[in-house]
Amino acid sequence: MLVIQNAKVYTMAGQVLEKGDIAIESGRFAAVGESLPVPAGAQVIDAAGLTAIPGIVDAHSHIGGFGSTMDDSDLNEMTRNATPEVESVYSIDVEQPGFKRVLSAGITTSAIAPGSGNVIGGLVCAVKSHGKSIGDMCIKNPIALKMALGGNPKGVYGPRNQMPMTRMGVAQVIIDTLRRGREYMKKQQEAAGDPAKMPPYDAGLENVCRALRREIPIKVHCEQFDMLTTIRIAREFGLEFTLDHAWGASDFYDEIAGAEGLRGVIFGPCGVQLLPGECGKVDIECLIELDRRGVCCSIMTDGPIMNPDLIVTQAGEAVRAGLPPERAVAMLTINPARIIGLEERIGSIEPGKDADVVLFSGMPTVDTAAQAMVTIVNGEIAWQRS
Amino acid sequence: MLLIKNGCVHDGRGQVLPQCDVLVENGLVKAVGPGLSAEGAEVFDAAGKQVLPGFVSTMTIQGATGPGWHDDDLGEFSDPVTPELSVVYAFDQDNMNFQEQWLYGVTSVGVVPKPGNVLGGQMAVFKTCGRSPYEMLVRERAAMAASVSAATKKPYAPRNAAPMTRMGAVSLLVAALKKAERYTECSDYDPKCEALQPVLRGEMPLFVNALNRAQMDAAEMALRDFPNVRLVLTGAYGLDETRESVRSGRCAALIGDVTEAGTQLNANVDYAGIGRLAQAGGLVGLCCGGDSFAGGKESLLWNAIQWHKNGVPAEQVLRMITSAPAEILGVGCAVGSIAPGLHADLSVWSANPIETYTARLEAVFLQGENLLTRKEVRKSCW
Repeated sequence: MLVIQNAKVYTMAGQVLEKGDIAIESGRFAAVGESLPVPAGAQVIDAAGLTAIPGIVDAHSHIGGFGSTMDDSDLNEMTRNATPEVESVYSIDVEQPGFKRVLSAGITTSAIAPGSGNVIGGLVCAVKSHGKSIGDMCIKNPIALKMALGGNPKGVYGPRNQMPMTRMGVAQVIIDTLRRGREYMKKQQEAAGDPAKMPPYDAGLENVCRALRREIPIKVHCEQFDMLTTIRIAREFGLEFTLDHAWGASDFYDEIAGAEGLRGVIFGPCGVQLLPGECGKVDIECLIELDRRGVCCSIMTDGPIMNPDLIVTQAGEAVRAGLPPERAVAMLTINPARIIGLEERIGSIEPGKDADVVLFSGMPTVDTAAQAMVTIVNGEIAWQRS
Repeated sequence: MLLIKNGCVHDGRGQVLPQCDVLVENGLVKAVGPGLSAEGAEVFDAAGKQVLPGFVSTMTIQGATGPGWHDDDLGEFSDPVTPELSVVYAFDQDNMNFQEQWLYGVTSVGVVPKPGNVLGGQMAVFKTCGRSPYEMLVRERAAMAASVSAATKKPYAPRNAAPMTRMGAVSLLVAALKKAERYTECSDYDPKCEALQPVLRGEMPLFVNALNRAQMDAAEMALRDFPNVRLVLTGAYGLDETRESVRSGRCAALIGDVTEAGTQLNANVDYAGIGRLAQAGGLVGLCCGGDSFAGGKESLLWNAIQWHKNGVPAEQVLRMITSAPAEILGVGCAVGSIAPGLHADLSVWSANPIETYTARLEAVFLQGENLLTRKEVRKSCW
């Protein structure tokens, strides 16, 4: 058993304890409260002066899949504009330094997605930052089907004189794929179990059907007016979806808050050069109004694009714009856990959940100097500042 | 005249003056001190606020790339040695205005050619807001940009052209300087040799983009034969407090960016050691450009926050984004600190933004004009 004592604890399950204790057993939280009993033989961490929050969840990342220098991209299978059959889990190298780096920032789970080179990129999985192997660290696969709108797929296929060369083409690729998925599903249903009548097996459409059956959401890279395309297509096909990046969301509060099937907004990264078109508006302050309207919001690093410490810094920027600091913590923990469908297991400090917790030297969404001092994953001290 | 009253003034050189006034006349700081008065002056009440010098973002490409991702006016990769080029002709004020850098306190930028060339051309320093490149210009020919990083191989190696290696890059750098040394008034016109004369005389610093220790060592060794060259190591993730050239003041360093993680080279920066080196007088600034470019309006402050998070005192970090980079760029007598005679470029915050995310920008003055409240906002065409 491991007991963390005397921390300021944000459980993100409705409690803030000024001097709180957290008991961990067999990789899970056993209890959280004040002055918990310490059984004989328990390991104790004195966390006086430290702030405990649930392990941070990065709901949009590519760590372990882009090489350590971005030169070796194993997450963009850019041979066809739609590759729903591929799975990011097979491209993740957990020995890459990116995994140590996220631990030092307090990130304990990442949703690792195919890149945005393809309109339909493949399946997304959820991976803990610490463990023996990808098989051990991947806690759910799939959690979503990745799609990308806008300049990325256009930039890949346009120069090859292939579709999509335009946003019209991007939307058409998605619509076509979903229509074919629907048809595939219909034929399967009509076969009524008769193998002779089943359509030929299509690995890609099998995954598309998972989204059509709402078993997983589509996870869509989109900014500014492209978000409206996502909302429209999701409604037409009855899909669950997430808006990833979501720059310019402040232009479309009504559309986003009223969207059918929206799991949440995964915003970021800000801190980018502004360009006309899809990078013209980077408005992290949108999280305040979206949160007020009940949209489940989270913040991403797009790792390894951005130093993982910057997930907290971005939450700090939302605070600078007026978001209450504790809401900013929610956008790093319980909200992304919900968005990726793992709120039963991670995202808050509650008995029974995975013991993923970070001890910061201050309030991370307020004090710029607050550093992760200890990062605990599945009850193990996975990283400690020396 | 403008009188900023009762703020906590950080002069950018390490001094903190609580309850201090700043008097501004004709765009320049006229006086700094307690209890100043000036008849008829517009008063800005800064009681309880933090007054900081405008930040100086060196090594930026803003103003000269775009509007599309592929429209780049800073990478003249037709020749790896182009010291004769000047970024003045690439700078588009509309692009710069569009970035709204001033919303995060940045009032001056050093614009640099891309690090893909061994000698990229001449840097210039601009203000972050204005109506024409020439009105925004603080200093032309501020520094010569060079590079020995792996970025130099990218444009040329695939063409089977030099440089394909670091030794190839360094050799081109040394050859250009040697050739320029032999250039006299009697020589045939050579724009490259001519452009390098102020570098050889030590009048223009030579910024060498060198990321890790091996690249930094290569740059220093290669320049041993040029005693007057004033070397500034940029990128410089491999710096530590033992580096003699920076300790002794012979070289300066601009470190960054540390907010991007596309490279692992910035994963093990010796923050505390470099902080001590700067405290002891080493001329060290922060930047958010170079091989790994972070171009948001937030990026320079985020770099500063990373340094503070890793143990460097806030006042030291402030120097590293204000007076130190201004001095390195040769514009310390105009911008980068709050002192009489300097441009009245300063920002007013509700708290110290290097210390807390709750700090909000209350005003940002560019030569005495508050950009947050000015009546005529110049709209960018972007």
